[in-house]
Amino acid sequence: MSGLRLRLPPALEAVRVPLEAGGATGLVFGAAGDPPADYAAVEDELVEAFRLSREAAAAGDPIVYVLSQPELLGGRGAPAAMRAGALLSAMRALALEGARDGLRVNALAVGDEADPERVAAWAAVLLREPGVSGELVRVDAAHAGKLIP
Amino acid sequence: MNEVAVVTGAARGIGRAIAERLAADGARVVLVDLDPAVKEAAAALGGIPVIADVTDAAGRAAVRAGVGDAPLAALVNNAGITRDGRIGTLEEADVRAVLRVNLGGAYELTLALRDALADGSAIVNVSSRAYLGNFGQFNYAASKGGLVGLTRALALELAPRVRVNAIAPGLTGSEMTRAMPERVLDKLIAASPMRRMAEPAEIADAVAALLSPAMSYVTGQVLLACGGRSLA
Repeated sequence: MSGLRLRLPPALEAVRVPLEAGGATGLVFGAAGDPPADYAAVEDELVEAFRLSREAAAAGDPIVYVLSQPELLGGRGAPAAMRAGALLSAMRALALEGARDGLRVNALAVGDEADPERVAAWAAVLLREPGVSGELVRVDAAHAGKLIP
Repeated sequence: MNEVAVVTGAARGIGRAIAERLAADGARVVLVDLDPAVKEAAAALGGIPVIADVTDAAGRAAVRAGVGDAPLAALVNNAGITRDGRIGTLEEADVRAVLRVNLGGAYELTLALRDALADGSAIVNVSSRAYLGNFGQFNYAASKGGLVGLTRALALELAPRVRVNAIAPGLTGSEMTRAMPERVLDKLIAASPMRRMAEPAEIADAVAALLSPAMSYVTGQVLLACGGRSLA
């Protein structure tokens, strides 16, 4: 069944209201901040991403993962980096797999100072606008000058 | 060289080729695998076999014991499995199994061996070109992307003492690849700029390069050894 599915950790809770108010459809899976404690917690979170993504894919709904820029570059410890790297690659795999069915899967990576209103707005754009899949959009310029993950 | 190197998934394929190459360079290699065939692989190159599962604590303790008091110069986290399928056909167990071996095993073994790593030592995590995305591999791609994340975090945490890099091989002539349907394999080879798979020994040479002093200022990076497939 189509609809808006939000999975937001406390660090991303502020994007809920603007996303709901915008009437978006699709899955927003947030995994930024609140780093997992150990490998088992990483695995559990990735399995949750898998379950929700499988549901969204079955409904033909677009998917956006919300990650963290410093976590992607390894600056917040191994569990957070494993989670971020795994979700970025899962996003690319699913974008490739879903391309023939028109399924779109993208990711945001937020900097520490990113405004939640802007994060919600870019998530809404990625959910709504056709033509872009498998893309990583970084919200706030903290990433400039660093590796493209 | 009286240095010790640990290679996981060393009974065959890329892992075995890496163990052979490091032994040829003079390292005392600890070959780790679930498969008892690792004994013969170790015997062939004068290495130390450890039959162990890197996903359980007892297995990791056995690897740690295999290293003993010698300074550990190189760790190659290579053990990996696949359980492919489109996302609609994958089960939770397929996701957990692949993540646990490919990602959890690498992370937790590295933690278990951390105290043994010598100053100036190096780690290579064997990721895959699939970390850029691959059809029917949501779980495998996630595990290999997780390894890239792990590589970056460990590079920051262990610098300047230990360098940590990843290699991302493309299609390689190993048992994992031979398990694919021939028709699919032929198509993938035709789509590859080099028009062939890698030999395991070619991947082993690249891993040896990443571990060597020739790469002494390189850390936290991913080397794509995929015959140009990441471009085409």
